[in-house]
Amino acid sequence: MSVKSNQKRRSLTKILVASAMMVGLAVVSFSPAQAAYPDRPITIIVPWGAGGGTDAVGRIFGNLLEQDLKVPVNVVNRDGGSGVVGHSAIITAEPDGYTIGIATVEVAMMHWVGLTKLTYADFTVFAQVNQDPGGLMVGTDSPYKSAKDLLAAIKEKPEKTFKASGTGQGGIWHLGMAGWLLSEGVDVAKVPWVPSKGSAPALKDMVAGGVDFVTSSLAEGRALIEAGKVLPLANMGDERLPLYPDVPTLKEATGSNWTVNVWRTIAGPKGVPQEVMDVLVPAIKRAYESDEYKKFMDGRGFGMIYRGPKEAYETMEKTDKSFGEVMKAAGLTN
Amino acid sequence: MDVFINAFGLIFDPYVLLVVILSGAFGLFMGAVPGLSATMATALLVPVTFFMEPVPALASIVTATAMAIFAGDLPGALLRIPGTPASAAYTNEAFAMTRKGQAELVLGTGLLSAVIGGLFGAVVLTFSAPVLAEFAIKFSSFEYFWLASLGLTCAAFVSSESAAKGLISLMIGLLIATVGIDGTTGFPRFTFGSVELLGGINFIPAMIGMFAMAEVFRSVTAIKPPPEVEQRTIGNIFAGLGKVLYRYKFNLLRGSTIGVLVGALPGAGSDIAAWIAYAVSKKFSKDPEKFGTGHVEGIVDAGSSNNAGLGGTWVPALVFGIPGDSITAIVIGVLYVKGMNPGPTVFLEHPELIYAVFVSFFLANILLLPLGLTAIKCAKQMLRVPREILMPVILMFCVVGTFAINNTVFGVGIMLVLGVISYFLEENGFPIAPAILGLVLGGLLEESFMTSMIKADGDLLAFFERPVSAVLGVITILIWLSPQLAKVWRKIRRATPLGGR
Amino acid sequence: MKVNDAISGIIFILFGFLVFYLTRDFPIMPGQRYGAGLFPNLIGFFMGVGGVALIVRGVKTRNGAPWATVMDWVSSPRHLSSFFLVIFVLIFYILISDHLGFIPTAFICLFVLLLWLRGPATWPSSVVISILATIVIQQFFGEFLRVPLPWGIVPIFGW
Repeated sequence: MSVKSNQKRRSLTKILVASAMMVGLAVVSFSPAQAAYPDRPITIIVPWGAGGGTDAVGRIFGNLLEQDLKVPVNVVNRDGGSGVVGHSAIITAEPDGYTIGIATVEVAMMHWVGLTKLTYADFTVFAQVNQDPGGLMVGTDSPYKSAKDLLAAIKEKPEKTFKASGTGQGGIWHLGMAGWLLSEGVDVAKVPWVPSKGSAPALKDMVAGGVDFVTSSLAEGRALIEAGKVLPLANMGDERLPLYPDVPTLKEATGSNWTVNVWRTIAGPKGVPQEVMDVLVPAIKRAYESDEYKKFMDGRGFGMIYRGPKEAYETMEKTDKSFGEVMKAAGLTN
Repeated sequence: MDVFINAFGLIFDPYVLLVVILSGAFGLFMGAVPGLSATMATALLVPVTFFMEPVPALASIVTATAMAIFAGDLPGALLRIPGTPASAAYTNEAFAMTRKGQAELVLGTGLLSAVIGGLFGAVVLTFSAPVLAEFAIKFSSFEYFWLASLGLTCAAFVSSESAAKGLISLMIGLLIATVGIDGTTGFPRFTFGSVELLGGINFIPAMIGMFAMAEVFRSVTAIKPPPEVEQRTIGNIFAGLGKVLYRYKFNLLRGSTIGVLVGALPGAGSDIAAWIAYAVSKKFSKDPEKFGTGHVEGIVDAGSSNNAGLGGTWVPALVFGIPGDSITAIVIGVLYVKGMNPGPTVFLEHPELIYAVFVSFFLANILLLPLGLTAIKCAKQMLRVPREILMPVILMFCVVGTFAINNTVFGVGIMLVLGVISYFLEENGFPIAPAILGLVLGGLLEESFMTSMIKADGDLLAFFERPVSAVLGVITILIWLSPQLAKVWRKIRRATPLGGR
Repeated sequence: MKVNDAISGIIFILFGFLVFYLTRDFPIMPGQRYGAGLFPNLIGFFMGVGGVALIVRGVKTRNGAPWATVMDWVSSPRHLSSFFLVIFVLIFYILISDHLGFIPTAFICLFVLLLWLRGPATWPSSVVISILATIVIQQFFGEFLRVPLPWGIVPIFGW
């Protein structure tokens, strides 16, 4: 027994040493040569799940960049943790331009809640490629047919009469509702927020009679609006939407100055070198200007906007500040 | 009628048929490899569908998912490792049958009940999508809470071991489901400062750990080689199949119905459908004591329900743009890209495209028969490979499969830790099925309860205020109390002859 | 390790208390009396209930049997090593794959496991199987499914 197992052990060691040597050899003989960016596959990290709007934007950019840059572009979903996981994965990657991601508006929120330390300043921003204003929707069987009526009822009726939904606790549309109520001088605690996994479940819950209004973007409610189940009351942007020209802005509807927009930017970790930027930024711009992207965004009713690296970074900075103020006022921070 | 003829024309086109067959083979492979699921098959098809016309694009997704859900049974029956989450409910049962030398019967039953369930789902989708969608959309968090509670009671039926051990196993699953950011308060729970844990514990690495890893451990520590009754070859899979299916024809109908209904409820899907169908099968079976020992009845129910569920999940997706599960969440994105915006209008604007999708459901499930047979023939080769070769290779597939979920080795770590835990649990007689069920339902249960409590401002009676919710609630509570009620009933019956007259 | 149910029971009761301890400062929902800790606490409670039931059962059915027995394979060094080797190989993969790259790591993991399970005499066929399996997995996942398997020290080829 012992002789045999000794032998066994010896030959095992031999083989292990041999394979280690092979590996060592591999290191010496092949050191990757420096070539012009990009010379290998690029990964786009999407911090939200497959099937959502951000995922779709990531995938269409992946496709367009692949055709343009002539290297494979993989789209990877890293969802969970209210976006923290995926955004952290973007900023902790090597800043070599081979791992980039879609950074969403939540970057300007999650550090205020205390979920993470990461902020917009941890990113190298290549471009902003989309922006959608928040909205205000009720079920078609709701007695309130305008934002004004709804607001009056919220002010008049006792607290907790109305419930709203649209995202998780402390998510972007929760902020949208809080900012609106604050701008109208209503105590935010008057309308409890019912957290949901996203806009679609919230809208469904509203149709089922679970909540009274939803503050997500009108684009997300499109199918149910067309089905006559959901009534759009207002959009929380600066101007009316091409998709719903008859729906007033919040300012037109109630006189409130509150606006809230979600945006999606293409970004990488801090410190991406200039020569990579020189290739990537124009490629993203070309993809943005392509017919495919326009067709896709129009199809889903998503808003198109292009901001270059500097402007996009400034937008992130601005959003971060204003969201911080509203979240503190609404008691959403930790 | 013209629309239907047009739809047939769109599907029975050489290019579309080729796409369908290729995606069928792709789906079979994705389903059969542990770690790769029907959802992932769909996600991977998306970039390919960018270059296709709407009909082949959607037909490829329909076919791939139908095949993947069936193919998940293959490693489940042969190796006790479910290929997709939808097969997890009856993996132990199917493997027990293989152990008894009934591999032909279990795979044949799985295949035919999948085909029949899938066709049933296609019929319902084609003829009653709008009606069913109206029903499904009426479910709010109150109804979901009762549905999830009903699902949990299945744990009592799927665990044959002692009730206390089943309860603890269920609690372990539920506890794992609470890791990560809490949906209602946004507070990170049990994350110990880890960003990865903030995202929660993904179901697939957990499931692979609990089944596949535990099986690898059992295999490498087996002092005595596994009993030779374990089958090495597979004969005619149709032998005796007709008799089984005829005997359980009612189960086929019941399983398919459960599948479509549960599938049509947004957020439930095929995985949960299979669990419920299996538990219902055991509850109403004439011989419940045979369940868990390699009894074909539960496989008929559950095998038909998960494929029927696929059709169901398309109902709310097409009619209201609300995804029925993670697969249709991706499908909705594809629909938008193809200009077929979901909603009632799509039935008016593009009826021929919608009906082509329906036709592709029928086609996919009929194709499942020959392709599935081929897959069974290939899969049986696995039985011939010695286990000491098979296990390391399977382990490597599991590693890559769990890696691919989020592209981090974190998933591999989850698989390892849960594999070790569940190995020791099983050695000590704790059933694993309730833990898996807890993982599947934990999120839905807690979320629906907490959001309901916010809506009702803490009033528990609100769970009985809505009509559907009240009915579901009463049914659930009656089922919970049924053992006690039965006892009382027997007492009364025994007491009456003495006390009466 | 096979333990008497009473011992599992004690373990799960302790675990239930651990859950209570960990949830002690979970926040409550505004305006309610409970919050993020409610479900974990209920789970901990039911775990404890199950634990108590197991203790009762374990003590009742013990009949002089030992409180704990080790499984038969623990006394066989070969099987014990197999058990730990599987764990070790996975930890190795988790720690090394990113630096070394998928191809060499997978080859080493497969080769070590095959060699151990099949015996050193089989090394030629084990090498072949390891290489084939690594290539098949790399091609299927890395190339066809485009999973970004790490390249590590290996020069990137293919795509």
